[in-house]
Amino acid sequence: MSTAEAGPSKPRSKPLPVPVEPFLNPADDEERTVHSVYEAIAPHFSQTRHKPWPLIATFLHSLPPNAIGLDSGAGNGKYLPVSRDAGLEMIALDRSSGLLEIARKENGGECVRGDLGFDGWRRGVFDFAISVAAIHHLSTPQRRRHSVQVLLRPLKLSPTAPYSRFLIYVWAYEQGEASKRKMGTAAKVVGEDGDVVAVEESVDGKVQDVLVPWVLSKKKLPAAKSGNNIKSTSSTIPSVEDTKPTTNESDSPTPPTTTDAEPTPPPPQVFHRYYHLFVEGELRELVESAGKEEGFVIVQEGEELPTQGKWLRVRGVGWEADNWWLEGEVGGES
Amino acid sequence: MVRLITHNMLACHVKNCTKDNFPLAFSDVELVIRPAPENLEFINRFLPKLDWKALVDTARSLGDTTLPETMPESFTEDELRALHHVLMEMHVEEGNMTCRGCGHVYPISNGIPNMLLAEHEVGR
Repeated sequence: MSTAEAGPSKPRSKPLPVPVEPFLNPADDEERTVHSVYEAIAPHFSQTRHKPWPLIATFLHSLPPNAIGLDSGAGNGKYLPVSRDAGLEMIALDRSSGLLEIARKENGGECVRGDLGFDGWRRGVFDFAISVAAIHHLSTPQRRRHSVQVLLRPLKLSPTAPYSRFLIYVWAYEQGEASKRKMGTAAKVVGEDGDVVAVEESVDGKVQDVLVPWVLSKKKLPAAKSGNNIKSTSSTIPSVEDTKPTTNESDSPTPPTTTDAEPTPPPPQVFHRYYHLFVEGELRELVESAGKEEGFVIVQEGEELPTQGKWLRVRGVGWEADNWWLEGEVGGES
Repeated sequence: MVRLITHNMLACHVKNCTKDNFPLAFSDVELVIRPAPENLEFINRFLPKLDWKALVDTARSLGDTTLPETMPESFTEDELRALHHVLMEMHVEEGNMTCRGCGHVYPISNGIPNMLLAEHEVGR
């Protein structure tokens, strides 16, 4: 690919994340601040998302070979090769057709286009499910809970081991000292991967809902679809104010020149993605409430498994590199 | 590349569509056969999850008649091979999948089925 050599641009005066008020219309606002952004930045985003996170790889390698599962919110499908190495079948589900095209071409797997609310899988078909860095893009507690419910529904329920297992990974509100993302502080930090992740601290407590800028350097990549430049009134992102649409229009005052003339590089385009940052305990609460809603008995550590009905057990929760992860399993009902 | 194994797991998810929502009916199909490494262990493991009738009907609608009408009690190696071919090697690259219950059409383009619904069609 001609874009393969493109990397993140030099950190300059990059815009900071901004707190965002609750959305009035979550579906439309997620379309604007998540889905259309990923379509626009797909090639650039994908270049920065090659390396599988070790914890996910370890999880996949711990599953019984020949199991079949789902990656919900799979993006560019970077875990597809890992799953193959682990002797698994895995289907990549994502909302972004741009990222799925890359998943299919570069990571070679079965891809299905659908969002995190997709509820069309037949019950009991999957032995495992993962959802990595996806659920934090949903903007209400109800939508996040529903996404966990539909992740649990297609998992096979077995009264005996091996049980079906799942792993969920989300961005954490709590950020480490060495973090690239200084959420909750006034620090301005530029990630190596193109993310600019820092946010002003709010006076009234924790800012869990933010718009995180993605700076798309136009000279390094072919033109992306415009139309998602959020005009923010916040003074924390001054560089956005002067950003003009960079697609060439016929009203350009510049007369046509020879085709090989080098044009002045246009200013980088800035896109904002919505994130809900999870606080400690929130992911577990989300999974357990979603499980209860689905009729699972929640089994705590050390408790006996129920002899009838279906159950859900959290196998582990942890914080790693500025994310919260949760591994769980479900079983029961013969 | 919608393989028939994937098709065998996908139902219509339009709000309140619960009758005849599986299997989705293929139409205007561009079918491609791609050899896949044979892993009969995987096929064996998947058997209990398979909806046999849906698979046989779908394979026949696409011109493959190698599978018997009723699921064998136990599979010979040849039967498992035939099943491997139907599940893992038959890819629908282009076409439509239509719900026989509500009539919703899920298009397949570049081998990727589009299961997205408009917000008002989702049973959230």
